[in-house]
Amino acid sequence: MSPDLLFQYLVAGITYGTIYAIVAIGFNIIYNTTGIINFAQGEFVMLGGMIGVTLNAFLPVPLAIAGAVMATMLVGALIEMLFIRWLRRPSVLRLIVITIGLSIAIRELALLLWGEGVRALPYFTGTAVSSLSIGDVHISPQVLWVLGISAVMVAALNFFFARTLLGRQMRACACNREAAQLCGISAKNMVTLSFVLSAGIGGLAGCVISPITYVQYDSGTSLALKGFTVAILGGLGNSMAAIAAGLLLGTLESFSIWVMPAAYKDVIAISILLLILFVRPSGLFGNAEAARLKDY
Amino acid sequence: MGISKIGLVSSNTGFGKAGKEQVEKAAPGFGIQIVANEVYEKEATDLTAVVTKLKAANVQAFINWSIEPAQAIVIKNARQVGLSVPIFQSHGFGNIQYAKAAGPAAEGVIFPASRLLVADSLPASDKQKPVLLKYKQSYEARYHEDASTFGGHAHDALLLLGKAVEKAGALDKEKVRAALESLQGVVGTAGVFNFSARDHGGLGMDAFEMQTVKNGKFVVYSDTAAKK
Repeated sequence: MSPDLLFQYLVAGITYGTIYAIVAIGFNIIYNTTGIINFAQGEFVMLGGMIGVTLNAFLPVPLAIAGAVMATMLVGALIEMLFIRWLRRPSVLRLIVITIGLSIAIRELALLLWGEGVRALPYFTGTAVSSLSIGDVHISPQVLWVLGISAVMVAALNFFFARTLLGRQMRACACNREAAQLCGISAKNMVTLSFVLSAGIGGLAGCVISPITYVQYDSGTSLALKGFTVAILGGLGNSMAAIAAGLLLGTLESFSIWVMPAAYKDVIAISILLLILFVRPSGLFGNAEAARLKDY
Repeated sequence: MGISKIGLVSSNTGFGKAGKEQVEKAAPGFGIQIVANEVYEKEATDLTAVVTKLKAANVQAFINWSIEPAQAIVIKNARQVGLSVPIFQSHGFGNIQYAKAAGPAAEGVIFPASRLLVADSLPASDKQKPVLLKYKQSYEARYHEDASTFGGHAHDALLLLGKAVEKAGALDKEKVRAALESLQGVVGTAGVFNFSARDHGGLGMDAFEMQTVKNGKFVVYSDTAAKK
């Protein structure tokens, strides 16, 4: 393989990886406060993209994205308040089933609202054919946008959870809900906030990746599967690790095309997911509540 | 066009697989060698690796056989990595949404499809033109989106059934079936249907028109346009 080709495959891997990573980050927020995996996370990504494209019809791209992020946050808040907040004993299994149900409902609603067509925001810089070239290696500027925005997002989240009072309150609820409540923290509000935050992150991800991947009413499902794999591979709750894991999985998938057809690259993702769940579940799941997740 | 080495990419669905098999069968007869043959998943988010493999194989053109949105991602990624050879698509590309999704990358893509897509630019002598324009205008007035060939197929199916029932003169299953089999010269959106006991498809090669994308619109493909 010539070095140019080697780097071109690497670029392809980075492209896949950044898409997976930006989706994976959203999973981590809700996990961090509630210990559950929100299976409707992929639908937040889809909603963000769809709303962004719709708003872009009469607003410039940055405003359309801001609007889409806010609208998706609102959906996240509504979902939590309508379906989760009032549960007396919110067990992990119950919450998972609720989020799966919601993901199906949102998907069908999106089909009714927007139809089955594919949409996309315009490229942030350049067009669908432009690429930055170093020798014979080409990379779409949008990939750099996704990578940059993921990095900023991770930095901001780390700051929020480590340094702000609100972020610490959210983490306290994750560690020990009852003790946090005894200290005067409203655990319910923290859970709502975590849904709002991860919906917003999902929405932003949906807008940023839509020029590359397109968005369709059902595009959330496959994105969520890869995002989930990457979140687990990196260690649930750790956004920085999610980016590294995303790039690792993306590169593996990209180079796998030498040995098997591209259609089988999902096999790699799912094999890795199963391998981790079988071999290292306890090491990757931080607390006992979530460790039970692997049973389902 | 003097092309002898091509790449073939198709999606991992029934549509992609059937197309792949037929292209593999037909290619040797035209002296064409498939030097890269790749299958991609229909939910792909990016296909840079696939087009890189085509590029590495030095293809002179490639065929992209798919009916899913991923087909537009292939075109886009091909142009991004600097693979500038002609791209041929199947009739599965016959929805302007795909050309819109790929933006400037879709310019010059060549594909066969029914004349519905280029109804406006057909000569007035064309037999299908009135039917096509009527379908297109009523569809677009009702649904506020561009008519695609796929909705046209449903229109044709109902049209043929209606004609068959009319001809049979009764709602008798066997009679309608026989009438359907004997329909001749029915002008639909996909072409002019001529059925027989042997031919249940009803359309000939002439039902397809080679088309291309120019300034974001489907237009009739002519060799002169390609040589520019």
